[in-house]
Amino acid sequence: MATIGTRLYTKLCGALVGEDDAGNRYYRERWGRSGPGERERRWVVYEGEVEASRVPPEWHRWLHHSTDEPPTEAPLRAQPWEKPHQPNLTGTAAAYRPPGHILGRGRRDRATGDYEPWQPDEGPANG
Amino acid sequence: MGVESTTVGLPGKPLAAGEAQDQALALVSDELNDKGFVVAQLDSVINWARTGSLWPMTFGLACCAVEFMQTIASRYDIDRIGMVPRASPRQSDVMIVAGTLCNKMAPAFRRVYDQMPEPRYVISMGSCANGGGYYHYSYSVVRGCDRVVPVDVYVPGCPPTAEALLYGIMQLQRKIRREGTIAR
Repeated sequence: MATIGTRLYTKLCGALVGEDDAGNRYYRERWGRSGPGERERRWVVYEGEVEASRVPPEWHRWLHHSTDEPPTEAPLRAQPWEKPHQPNLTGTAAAYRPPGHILGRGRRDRATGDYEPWQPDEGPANG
Repeated sequence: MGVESTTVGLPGKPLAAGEAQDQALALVSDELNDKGFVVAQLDSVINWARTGSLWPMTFGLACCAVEFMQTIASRYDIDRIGMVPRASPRQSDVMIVAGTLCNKMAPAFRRVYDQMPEPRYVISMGSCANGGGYYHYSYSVVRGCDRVVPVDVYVPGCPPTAEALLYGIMQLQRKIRREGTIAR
């Protein structure tokens, strides 16, 4: 869902470039811009909630003019260590809670003893 | 409320893109579906009004204030989402704590917060306001402004970019929409 202005502008001037896995559609202007200090306009029409973190990284770099080829033309090689893209899940049940968070388990793990605590009678730690 | 009672996925476990994730995200935005028609409509109107005119209290304490000023200025221009910086706590809805909170400033900070009318929100901007940051071990700095006031949104960074602060503001709007309460 976009605002009325964005929807109207997309209808009149937008050329569809591609669509990502989540269904967000990406547009550029039908005509190029070549004047001094000008560059092509690129925008996204979200499928569902308007939330910037729903744009996956390969489209993000196109949207922010880091690259000129959209991932439909030059797809990125997926690295084996890459995880699937997640939008910001804050406020949902799937939000990340660190161990010891009061909304989670509420208790921190015991310290592992890999540090040496400073004792008062030893004087300052750094002499 | 829907977020607490309905569990989609395991806490802390990432959801793959698809139906389950859409469902989880819909819980954030579409909580109004759980309520009655009249209340939902009234809620949505009130939340629309609230998110559309969040007047920030200018509380710039250190270098984060420069990025805050840039968010106000013409490039990011929070005026277009209805945010007009106010110099008086009595006219403001959200306080953006931009910078290091010193011990000496803490009573004044709390007083300014107490003078703000309900509903009031606090955005903690930058490492120093979040948890002391670089000055965490200093003798004269409060280790996070959440020791003095309740904080709604934490924006990480040292300093956060203007874009990051803008995203934090949008997260606050999302939170207001999600909570959907008339009295806070």
